[in-house]
Amino acid sequence: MRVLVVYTHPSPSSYTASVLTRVLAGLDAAGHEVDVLDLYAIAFDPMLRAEERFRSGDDPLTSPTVQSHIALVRSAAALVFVHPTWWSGPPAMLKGWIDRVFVADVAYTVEASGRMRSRLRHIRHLMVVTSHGSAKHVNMIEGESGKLLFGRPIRRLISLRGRFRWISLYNIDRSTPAQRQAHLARVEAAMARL
Amino acid sequence: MRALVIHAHPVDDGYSAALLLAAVSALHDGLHEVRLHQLYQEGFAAAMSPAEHHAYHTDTPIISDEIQRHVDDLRWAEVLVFVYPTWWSGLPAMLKGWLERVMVPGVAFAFDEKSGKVKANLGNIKHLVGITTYGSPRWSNWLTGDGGRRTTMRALRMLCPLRTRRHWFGLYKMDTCTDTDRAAFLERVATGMRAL
Repeated sequence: MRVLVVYTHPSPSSYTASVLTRVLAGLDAAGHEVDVLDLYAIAFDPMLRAEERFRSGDDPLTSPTVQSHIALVRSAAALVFVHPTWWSGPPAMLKGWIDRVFVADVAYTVEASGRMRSRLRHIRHLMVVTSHGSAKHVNMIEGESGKLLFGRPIRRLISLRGRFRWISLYNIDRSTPAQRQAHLARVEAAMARL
Repeated sequence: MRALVIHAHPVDDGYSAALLLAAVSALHDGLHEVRLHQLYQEGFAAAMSPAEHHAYHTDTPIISDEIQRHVDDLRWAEVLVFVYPTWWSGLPAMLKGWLERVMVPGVAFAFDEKSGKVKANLGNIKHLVGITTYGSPRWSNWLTGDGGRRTTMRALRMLCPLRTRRHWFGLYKMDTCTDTDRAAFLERVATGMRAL
């Protein structure tokens, strides 16, 4: 299966970087074909511009970088997002990637009748691997907007028999090394079973 | 009162700009002092930089004059107003990035040294205001969970005093609603801001 991993973290020495290493190890063990987008490493521009707002992903004016990312999304059967949760959601860098890449004719098509039709039904697995500074109950009060973003509007566009998985380490600010290691092992095992 | 208005929309003269004008004019009418940041127009960078991330957990997380100015305005304010479009049921990356880069430790919250817990630090904020437009209808946003509203109205609310009041203004079906709907929403926003 072709898997697109979208990785977001500004620091190569972060815990999230070690999560990515284990994600890739797991996917490799399962024999998947993997594309990795490291948004900070390629200095992705996360700001949707005025002229892009209603533009189809097929429009030749779409930026070449975004076009290449669209091609990766279209050829993927699984999407794996690896990032820290900040302010209860994905970092601005990743939110901007979604704003700019999941546009008309990539994530959905608006038909002449005005109805929206999904263009992401080829995605059979949607996985999010993340960590939260604060505890689960604090995130629940804050509203878990990140979990909702992937689990609802994006999830409802993937294959009708597709699977959504949210693998998260809460309360990382007060976690023990053993807990962080256990999470890494859990992540690798989940990827190896994909 | 002193109001800080944060606007995040890439179009300079569209409906979002009209919403901003309605809100700011009404605040002026109420003799409130206003400071305004239009993040797109002033070229604010949405993504936290690697250097900022590195500084985040140090004693000096603010490493640029630009962010310091935003922090000064935030500390000055009693009313915090966000005007933005809702995209993918959440904040535009631009506004999300403003939270990440400006509301650093020591500004919006502080880490308690002993327990490691987060302590609220936005004691100066008396009113939190969200003004947004949605492409989709209200029921659809109810189903998707309205993550952007949760971030501005719940996650931020936790860092404000208990007496802080929330004010939410949402215009649904932005792309298909009528001119009358849009005009009525402008009026609703203006009335709400005057009543602060």
